[in-house]
Amino acid sequence: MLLTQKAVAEGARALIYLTAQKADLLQRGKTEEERKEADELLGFLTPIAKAFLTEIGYEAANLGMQVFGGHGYISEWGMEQNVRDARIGMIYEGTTGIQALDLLGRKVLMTQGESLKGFTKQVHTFCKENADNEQMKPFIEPLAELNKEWGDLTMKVGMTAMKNREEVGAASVDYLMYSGYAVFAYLWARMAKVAQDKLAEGTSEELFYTAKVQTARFYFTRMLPRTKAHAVSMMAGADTLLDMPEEAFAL
Amino acid sequence: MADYQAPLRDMRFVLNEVFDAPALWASLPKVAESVDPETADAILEEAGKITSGVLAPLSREADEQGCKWSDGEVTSPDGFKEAYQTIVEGGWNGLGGNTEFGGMGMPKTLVAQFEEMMQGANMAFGLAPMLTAGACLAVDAHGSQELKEKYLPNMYSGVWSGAMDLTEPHAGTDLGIIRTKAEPNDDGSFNVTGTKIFITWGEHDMAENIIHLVLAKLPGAPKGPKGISLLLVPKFMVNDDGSLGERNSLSCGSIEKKMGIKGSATCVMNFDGAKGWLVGEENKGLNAMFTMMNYERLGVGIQGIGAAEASLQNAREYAMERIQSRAPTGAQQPEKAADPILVHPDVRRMLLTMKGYVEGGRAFSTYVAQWLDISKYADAAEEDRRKRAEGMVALLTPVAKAFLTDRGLDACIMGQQVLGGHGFIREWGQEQLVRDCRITQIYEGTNGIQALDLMGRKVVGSQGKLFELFAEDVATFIEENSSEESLRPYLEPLAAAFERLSDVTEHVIKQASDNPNAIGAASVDYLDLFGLTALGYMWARIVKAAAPKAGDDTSGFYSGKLKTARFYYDRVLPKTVSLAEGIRSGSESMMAHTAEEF
Repeated sequence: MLLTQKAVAEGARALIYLTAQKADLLQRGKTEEERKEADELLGFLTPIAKAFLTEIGYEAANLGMQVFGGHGYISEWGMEQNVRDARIGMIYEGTTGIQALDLLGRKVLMTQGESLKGFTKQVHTFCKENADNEQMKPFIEPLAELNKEWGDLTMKVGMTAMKNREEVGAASVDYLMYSGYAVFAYLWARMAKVAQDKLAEGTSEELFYTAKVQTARFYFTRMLPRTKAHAVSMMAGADTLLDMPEEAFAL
Repeated sequence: MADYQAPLRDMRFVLNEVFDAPALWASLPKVAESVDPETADAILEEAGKITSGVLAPLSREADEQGCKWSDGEVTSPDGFKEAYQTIVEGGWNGLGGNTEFGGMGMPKTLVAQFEEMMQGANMAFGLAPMLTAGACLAVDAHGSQELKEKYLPNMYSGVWSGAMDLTEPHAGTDLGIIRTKAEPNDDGSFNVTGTKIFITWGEHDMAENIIHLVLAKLPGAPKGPKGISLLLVPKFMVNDDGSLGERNSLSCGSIEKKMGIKGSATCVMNFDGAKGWLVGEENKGLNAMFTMMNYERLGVGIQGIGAAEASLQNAREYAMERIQSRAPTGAQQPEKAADPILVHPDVRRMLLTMKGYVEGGRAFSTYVAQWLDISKYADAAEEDRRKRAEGMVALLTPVAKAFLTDRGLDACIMGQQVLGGHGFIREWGQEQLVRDCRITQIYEGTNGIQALDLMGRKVVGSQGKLFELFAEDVATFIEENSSEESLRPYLEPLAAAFERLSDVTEHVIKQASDNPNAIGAASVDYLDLFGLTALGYMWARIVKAAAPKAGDDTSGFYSGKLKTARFYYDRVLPKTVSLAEGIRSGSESMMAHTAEEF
């Protein structure tokens, strides 16, 4: 429970700063090209930052409450308030479902996948730069594989969507969650690299950096597998969602 | 907010068409004495009226009002006292009780449906009859004849309610370290002293007496769980003629402010040399509890399903009435300003996921109830039948508790999300269901504890033998139906999912042989994996019952079942792939951090 919360909180912080960085570059980038690139990445990242972080943030808040057992349910301890307060995040400023439609429908598919490529290119570069780093292998190998799968799945969903517009809505939330986990994998790999380098250099904050590497490992082995379920589910198609007539819902 | 309607159509479908409960009841002579299909149906009908008509309308206001504590007295929310009388008048507390002492002797398969209706309609209220029934189970199974005769009849009728006093400020999961003491008196009674917390309905104004079952330690008792005794401690002493006597020396020190189930009183109980009597043997208190614990675990799982059903009813109604934006394929209701949100794939995804969990969960809770019935009521001569049922009960009850509450909460969260911003507003009822449902993952043994019980005690502890019982049941179903056309799309993926579960089971058993952390590292994901697969099995059995009738069905009930099954298999069951991988990664990444590194 605690490690899941840690992986979420620290990964989230990294994603927020990455997104904020793009916002800054959009405003203050020195060249037109730099600003344009930042704009595209920002457009890609914002629905993920909003929806993915509020969804897993809520899960993490509930885990924190669960650690307290029965006391977690008692108002004075503050944990259940945190859960209640966190719940609105998935609803306002555009529900999770709407963010998902924005990501897949507008940002990814309407640019023919270019906005995704803008991101996966950066991931690909990072993976290549660290391909020969033995210590980074547990992160680079799964990340590279995931990065490729991400592109493949996007293409597949795009093709089914051309034949049937309802496929976008059917796949969107699974696609958003998959994307969130993939972005996190990239960020956790980057953090692991920084931490490993610091440990190799010698540091007075050994515990801090060791913990980063370990949390990254936890994320990769225990949380990242969730992408597998989302991959299967997003390709399941719109039929199972749309076949059921309205009257059958009423029973 | 939709008016809660007891889901009788589906309950009848599950009982009669999926599981042929009447045949089960007929095969258990003691049960057959008390129930037949007509009686069962009448009970369902009446239960539907009471839960929908009397209990449900009180739930929203009770959440706003809460209980009041003043000087040791607790006042329940408006209408609860009267509603409790309705329960008493119908003898509903004793529905599953021992006929020898005034209970109705109904099988759990039937009682489970009543419980779901009650919990779905009003969980805060429903906890009072639920705990009373639980207390009755413990007394009936382990109390002396004298104790049973004195207390059970009024508890079955509900004239006296029951409470379970286990937890202390420093001891919840770990009951071995409780401090409440029981000092023996010459007349065979004991004086109980100590403080208990989180005691649901430990004090209230709905019944003239409250019978507490209290865990305490006798002088010289062994340390730990083996030193716990169970005592019956009444709020008012009961005279030999059954009339009420003096107030006993226990009192409610305060009630808690909680996230949910606000209509119920969660009490601090102070025992000050209160007089009580042993239930069962000295130092065998936990044993006495275990009998009841399996029923309670299923009961809590049923609370999860009940809340989820209520949420689904609200969400469904909203999705059909709320118009917002247009369907992706073009306006479905062009005469209106927008289309009902039911047209949107993602809204359907949420409703269908809820449906998958609720209807599959209802089938699973009934399936587990069957094993409880066989294990309790099978003829003495049917040794094998009873043993098999006991094994199934042991394996499945932690799954029923944890999985149905975890998925129940997921369903309530989705049901809230369907309402958008209105889901966050109290009057609409959805956020209350989330808050109420949340406790079910915590009490009666947290879901983490249920997972340890399943993985450690039941699966690894039996070296997979208990798991094989369930595996055999599924394998037999697959084999017997292999030529069934309607089932073919399901049997293959079911077999694949089950193979995944079996492989992982074997994997963990092996890991556990030399890694003490293997069980705890796998447990929660394992229980999830088990539950998802078990629900897949349930959906296959639902398809078997529904398929033959789907062609002629104009109501959409049977065809809806087939489509929901399809959705469950396509969209929900794949979660098992991720879970299996996480489990296989082992305990290393989980245990690597030192305390400081956290």
